[in-house]
Amino acid sequence: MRVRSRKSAEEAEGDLTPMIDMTFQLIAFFMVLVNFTKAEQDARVDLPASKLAKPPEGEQEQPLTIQLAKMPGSGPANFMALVSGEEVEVGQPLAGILMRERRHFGRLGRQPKEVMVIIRAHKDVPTGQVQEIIKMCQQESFERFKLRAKEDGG
Amino acid sequence: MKIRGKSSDKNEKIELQMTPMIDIVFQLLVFFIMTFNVVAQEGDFNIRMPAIGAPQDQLEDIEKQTLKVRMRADAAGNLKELKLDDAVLSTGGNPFANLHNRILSKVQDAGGPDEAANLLEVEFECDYDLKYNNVIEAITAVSGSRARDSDKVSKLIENIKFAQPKNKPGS
Repeated sequence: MRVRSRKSAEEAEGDLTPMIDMTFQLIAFFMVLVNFTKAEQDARVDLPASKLAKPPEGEQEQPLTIQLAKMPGSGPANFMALVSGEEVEVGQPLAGILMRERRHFGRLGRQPKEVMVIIRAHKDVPTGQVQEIIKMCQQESFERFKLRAKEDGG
Repeated sequence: MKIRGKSSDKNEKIELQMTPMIDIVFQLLVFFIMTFNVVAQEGDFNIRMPAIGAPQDQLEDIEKQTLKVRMRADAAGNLKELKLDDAVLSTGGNPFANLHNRILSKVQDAGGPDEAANLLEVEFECDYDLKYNNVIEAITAVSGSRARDSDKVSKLIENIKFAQPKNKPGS
């Protein structure tokens, strides 16, 4: 009878090349899509959707971004304004911050009427609060406003 | 002279240590997967709100017709009534689609979007408690529309301003 010779000395080697290829491709994919530019976005602000919302073309000069975020919990008065990393109620505290921002832009040599004010408000916020913010900005001589919305793909 | 002979070394394979590289690669992969975040594109609507007491641009306001959009809210902040000037648009169908159609006909009457930019403006008068997404929908309806199969935007009226809010609670 013929006996098959033993090949115990040979090692079984898996070919790792396809796996490494795929892994590097996945890393490249996620690296390209990773988004670290969330400094001015807050997860508590769920923007209203609009079919016409398109990212602005070209670079904008440093704007003043005011966010109106929904605070956890339920109730009509649970919206807070976020400006320059501070959380304040829409009222006197916000007016103080806007005055400080106006001075800040003044030190940079920019007039308030040249500064774009971007309002990122939660979709459920009472419209009156957005208008109060606009009025406070007007009192600090800001004139240019943009209301931000997210793109509605549907 | 010693001549190096054909030794058995030639048949030995040089083995690279793949394990540390694969470890690091998988760590990188996990990091990027964990930090991956799909962020919706955002866009802006310009509104025209000159500062209080600021001199009005004389050329800007010559014979500009103001279309008044009135939005009333119910107790929950949802849209109860939508009016363009005196016409109620919230009685049948989608009120924002009705608003869009009315604005479209006004723009066509004015001679097209370029002419309308000089002749028409829209003023929103909203209840204080009206939910903000209704305002953005109304602004979208008066600003234009986008074709379904392309990114092309047909512009209507982009001169938008706000009147004082109505029915503020506690006032």
